Amino acid sequence: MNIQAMERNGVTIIPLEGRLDGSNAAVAEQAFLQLLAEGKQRFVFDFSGLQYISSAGLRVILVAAKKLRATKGRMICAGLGEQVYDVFEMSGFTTILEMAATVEEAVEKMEAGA
Amino acid sequence: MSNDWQYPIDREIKLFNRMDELRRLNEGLEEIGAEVGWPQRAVLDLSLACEELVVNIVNHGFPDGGEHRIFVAIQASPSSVEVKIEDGGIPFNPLDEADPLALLDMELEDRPIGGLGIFFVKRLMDDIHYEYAGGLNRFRMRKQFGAGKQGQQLAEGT
Repeated sequence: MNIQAMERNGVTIIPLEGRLDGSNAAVAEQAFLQLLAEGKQRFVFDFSGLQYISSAGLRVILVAAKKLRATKGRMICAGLGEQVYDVFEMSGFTTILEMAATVEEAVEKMEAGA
Repeated sequence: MSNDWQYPIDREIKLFNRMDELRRLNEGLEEIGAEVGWPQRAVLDLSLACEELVVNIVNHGFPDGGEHRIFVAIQASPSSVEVKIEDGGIPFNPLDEADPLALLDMELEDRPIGGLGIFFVKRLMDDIHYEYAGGLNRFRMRKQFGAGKQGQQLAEGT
């Protein structure tokens, strides 16, 4: 997975595409940690292009959420497809993570500070 | 009823104990799914169950390192699949792991990283079985696709 993060109104959007699994989870985690090291604190993970996630992929999302909780940052998971949503739900992630239907909605929530 | 009829596709995917082999595993499953006509979602669920088991073997099966084989045998029909996964790593029964139910309700701060993989396998697959025999970890699982729908049609048809 080649991750090209974008900035929108001070929010860092991380698009995830294809599959987030054991073979590329480390790459995704590294990309996030790099942005965090650059001082980014507000993230939207864009799942709309992600077809599949496994527990190795969930691990990256949980690492990000824990790091941002510790630094008083914020992240929203947006645009989850069917398989990704079901895996989030099986794992109890839908209740501990902030979710949005679309990236636009997530960015608006961030801007409103709500 | 002969096994040939029940499972028109009988194939083995041989993997090495490396994470980058997940791509080949997935390609193999997609190929079988396309040939036999599984819905895309069934392929994804099967891919998840297989990945979690293979990742477990890659991470824990061979603590001394080195290159080893993991054998994934797939018997497929349009409405069902049976998967057998075998490896010669240290004996490990993934079904001994307790379900992480307590973990699911934990707050973000307290939640441990990991512990979900085998839980997914149990949730997604049926008729799961493990044994250690002949120096091999042997894991078997089955899945019937769309069984609920067929049952409904039967009920409506009578």
